[in-house]
Amino acid sequence: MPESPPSPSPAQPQPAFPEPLPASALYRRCDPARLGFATTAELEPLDDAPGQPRALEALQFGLGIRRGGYNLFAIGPAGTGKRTIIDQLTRKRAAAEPTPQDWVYVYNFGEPHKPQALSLPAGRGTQLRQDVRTLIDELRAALPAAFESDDYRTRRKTIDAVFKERQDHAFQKLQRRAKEHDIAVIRTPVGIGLAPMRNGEVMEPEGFNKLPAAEQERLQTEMTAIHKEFQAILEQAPKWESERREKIRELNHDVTRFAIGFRFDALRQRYADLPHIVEHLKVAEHDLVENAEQFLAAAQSSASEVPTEIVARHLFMEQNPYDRYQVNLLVDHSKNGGAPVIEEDHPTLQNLVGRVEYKPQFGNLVTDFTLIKPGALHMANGGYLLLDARRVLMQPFAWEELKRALRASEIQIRSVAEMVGMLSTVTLEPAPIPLHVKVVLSGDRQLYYLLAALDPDFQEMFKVAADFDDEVDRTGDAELSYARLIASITKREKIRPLDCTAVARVVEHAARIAGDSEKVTARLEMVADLLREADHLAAEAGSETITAVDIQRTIDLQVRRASRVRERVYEEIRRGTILIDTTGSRIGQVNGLSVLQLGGFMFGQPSRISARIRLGKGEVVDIEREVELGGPIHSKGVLILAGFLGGRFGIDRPLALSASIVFEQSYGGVEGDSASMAELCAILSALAAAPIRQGIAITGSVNQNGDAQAIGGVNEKIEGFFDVCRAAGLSGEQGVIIPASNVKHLMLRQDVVEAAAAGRFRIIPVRTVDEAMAALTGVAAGARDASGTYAAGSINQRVEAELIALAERAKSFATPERKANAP
Amino acid sequence: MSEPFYIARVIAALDAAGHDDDLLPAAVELAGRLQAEIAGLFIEDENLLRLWASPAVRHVTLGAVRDLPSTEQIEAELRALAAQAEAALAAAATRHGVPWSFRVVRGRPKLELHESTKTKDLVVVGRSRSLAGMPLQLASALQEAARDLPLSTLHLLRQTTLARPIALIRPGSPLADRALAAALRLAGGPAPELDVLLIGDTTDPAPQKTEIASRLKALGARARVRVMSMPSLDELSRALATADGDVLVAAADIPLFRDRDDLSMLLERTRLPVLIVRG
Repeated sequence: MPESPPSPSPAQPQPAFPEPLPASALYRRCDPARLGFATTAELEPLDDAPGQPRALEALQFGLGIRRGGYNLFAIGPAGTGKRTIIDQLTRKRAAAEPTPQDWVYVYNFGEPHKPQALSLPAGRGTQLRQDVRTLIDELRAALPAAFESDDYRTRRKTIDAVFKERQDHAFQKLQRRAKEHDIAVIRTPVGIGLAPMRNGEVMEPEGFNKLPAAEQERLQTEMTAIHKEFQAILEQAPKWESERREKIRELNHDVTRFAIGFRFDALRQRYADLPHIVEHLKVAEHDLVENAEQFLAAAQSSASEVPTEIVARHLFMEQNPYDRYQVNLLVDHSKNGGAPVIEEDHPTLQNLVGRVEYKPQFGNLVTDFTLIKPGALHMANGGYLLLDARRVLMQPFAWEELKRALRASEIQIRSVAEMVGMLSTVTLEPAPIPLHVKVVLSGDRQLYYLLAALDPDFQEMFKVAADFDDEVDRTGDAELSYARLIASITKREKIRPLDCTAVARVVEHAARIAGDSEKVTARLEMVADLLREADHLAAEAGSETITAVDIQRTIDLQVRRASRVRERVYEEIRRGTILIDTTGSRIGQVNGLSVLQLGGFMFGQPSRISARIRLGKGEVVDIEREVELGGPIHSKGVLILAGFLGGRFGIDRPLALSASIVFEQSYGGVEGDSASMAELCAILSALAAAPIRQGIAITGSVNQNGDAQAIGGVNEKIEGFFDVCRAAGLSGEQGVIIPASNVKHLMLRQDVVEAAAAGRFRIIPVRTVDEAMAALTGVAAGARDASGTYAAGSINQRVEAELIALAERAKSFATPERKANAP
Repeated sequence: MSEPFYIARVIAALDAAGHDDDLLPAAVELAGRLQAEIAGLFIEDENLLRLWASPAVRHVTLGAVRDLPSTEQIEAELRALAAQAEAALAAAATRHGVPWSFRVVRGRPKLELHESTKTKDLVVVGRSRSLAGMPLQLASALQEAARDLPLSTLHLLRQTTLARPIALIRPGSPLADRALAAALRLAGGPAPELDVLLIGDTTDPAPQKTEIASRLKALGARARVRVMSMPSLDELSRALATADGDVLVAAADIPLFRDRDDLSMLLERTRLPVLIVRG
């Protein structure tokens, strides 16, 4: 006998048998007539982002504010057109902003391995480079000419003559003196020998010994004196040579200064308003004068006047000694108006911060400041840099170096090898360049939130998030705006115009992609793909405009191309390999619906869910969870339905049941809670011994109060079950139960809508599990009356009765000794 | 031209003072080119030997002062230098397949050089006159002797390439053809290339230029002929500096060389090897 019902309470409203939706509720049409144009050719293209006011405001704000750290991150899935919008907005803004300065790298005469960075007003960088090139060309001709001039030769000869004369004079004087005193001067392998001489021959020792002592003494004295003087000359010679070279050096400097001075003066005059350029030119001129010999070497490498080491350096090290006066124009804005907008598609470290290139020379890799190449930061300096966040993060060191540059407000060129300490060759350390740039990253939400959570620098440097919606409202004039957006795409992609029926069909399809009859997708790349493919079909058909027929055919072809797996699954259901009943009734068995996504294609798949009841301690066993095939959200759904059971039926007595539920023939993971209402219905059916109509599938989640809650993929789920039922034969009894809150999402396929209109398939919205049970079993769920009792025969009364029975049985098992002691 | 510059033997003349490492390989290579024998001649200057025996000798050197060597030490040093030179000559001659010989003579360089050479010889002598690496100029006795030889003499200074001659001649002079022939033989090959500097002494040198160019063309040579009208030594030096050649082949009867000192000056000023062609 059942226990007394819960304490009396006001009678609950009796749940009704829910009615199927009319066909008109299954699909929201876009009326071509209301669009007000014949083809998109008549429409003004829309360069805005309709329905994205928040993102646009954020972009405008972020681009406008000129403060450190106010860089932007445009959030949104790929294909929403955010890059296009960002590009348009930044270019529009940049065009009205001042053109930034040009940057050049020049030789650092003080520290050659640290090239100097110089800035010039836009356009004057290229002018400076050209001016210096012209100067060098002139010097190439003028310097050799100066050194070939008679004036130079005369002065040079004079120097040589003076020193030679000094040397000759000293030598000859001594040689004459030696000869006069009969002393031979003879070259030896390592010096000069002096010995007494007679008749031009060195005197034999015997001959010398026969000389009178006075003569011997005289010769010895004279030789000692000459020897000393020769020795002095020999010791003096290096000094004379040094003096000679110094004189020649001074002469070379004079000649060089004379040849180049007025040219440098003229150049400095042109840049008088740029003191740092003037200073560089002064240093360059000084260096050129100091190294005049190198230019002689360049002009006449075999000339005897040029020191050998300079010739060697010229030949083997610095093939062109003029190179160091060149100007490496790193950033040239001569052809740009406004601030630059740079989009770097391949944001490697070097493509961002620039690089120092090397060239092979005699088996070695060498470099100089002319081989410094700019990166995107250089090119965007003073303007905007647009980057894909994922691509930046994929490149080693790129993200860290980008942050470093933004933090330090300067661009420092560093290579990967340098950063990992593997650089073994001599390289350059180019002077850093001040950086003023607005970086706009774009990426998906997951990336944004991961960066925000894991990178402490991120939010300091990217303070503005422009959050693009995945879909936008379809209310008011939104359909017309969308039509203009379509017109923009056709114009940009050179796609033939769409007539109004085609536009209407595209809008409807955009709502279907959004999975919401009141929204349209903002993933414009998918729409653009649809238009491109429809254009191709229209072209094949020889049509000037794209019609709704072309659009529909394109959609059908897209589905067909992607639906191989779906067809195989449905085939196995039809063949009875996957057990799905679409007729008859079964206790504790219901058709749930799930969605499979393969690539970009989603389809619904019916799954048989079964529940078994036995005596237990109130637990609901989720077999999927037990074998670790159920995900956490699915497990949560099961626990919620257990909570519902306890709340409704276990207030006054323990739930002495053990229920097990399972997705039959499911061998992969199950995730999501969209089957929780189906699972609850299967348990209630098992408890009430109420057969469930197998022609009706059910989807929806449920809360602990038994309210039906919206789920995703409702269209695909309905269509999936429809396809299975149609294959088995539509009886008019088949249909799908959905949460009432999902009705607004319905954008069903045309064949489903037609079947519903003809009464051959039903979409039944429910607000509660009671309504769902009524629809599934044809038996009223029942509500408690004022006495707290369910109507006899109702589903809930039968469930409660079964639970009381289970509790009694459990109770009897719990007191075995009474039985044992009974008489 | 029926071989007006026939050389039967190239004599590489060496002494202890003006030793030059590049001389022997260059002389052997030249002998091979001229299809001549190579003969090494190492002259031990007897004055040098006597020098060390003199009780009154003084020696001027740069750097550390050494004890004066004995005559025996000097002789041993000379023998070592000669042996070293012979080995170098033998190696180079074998490499080039040139018949070779080597002699060591002792005496006065001028005399020994005269006595050891014949009419069809060409003497190769070093030109380095620096003293212990110093720019001081003091010719050795051998170098002095070579300038007075009546034979063709090649004065080498380090550089040993002799492939692109610059011929320096006075048109119509007795030695002009011989110098041109020498230059052609040095240039070698079926289409030799050479620069020719004509030292003209007429007001209109054009016919001479044309005539020389035609003759060389007939011989298959590609010549660039320039005329210099009685140049000074400076002008000649400048012309040589800009000419595209690596050896100067000069007829000895050029008026400029009548003064022995002018030839010495030219040898001092140019870095090119200089072949003085004599009859």
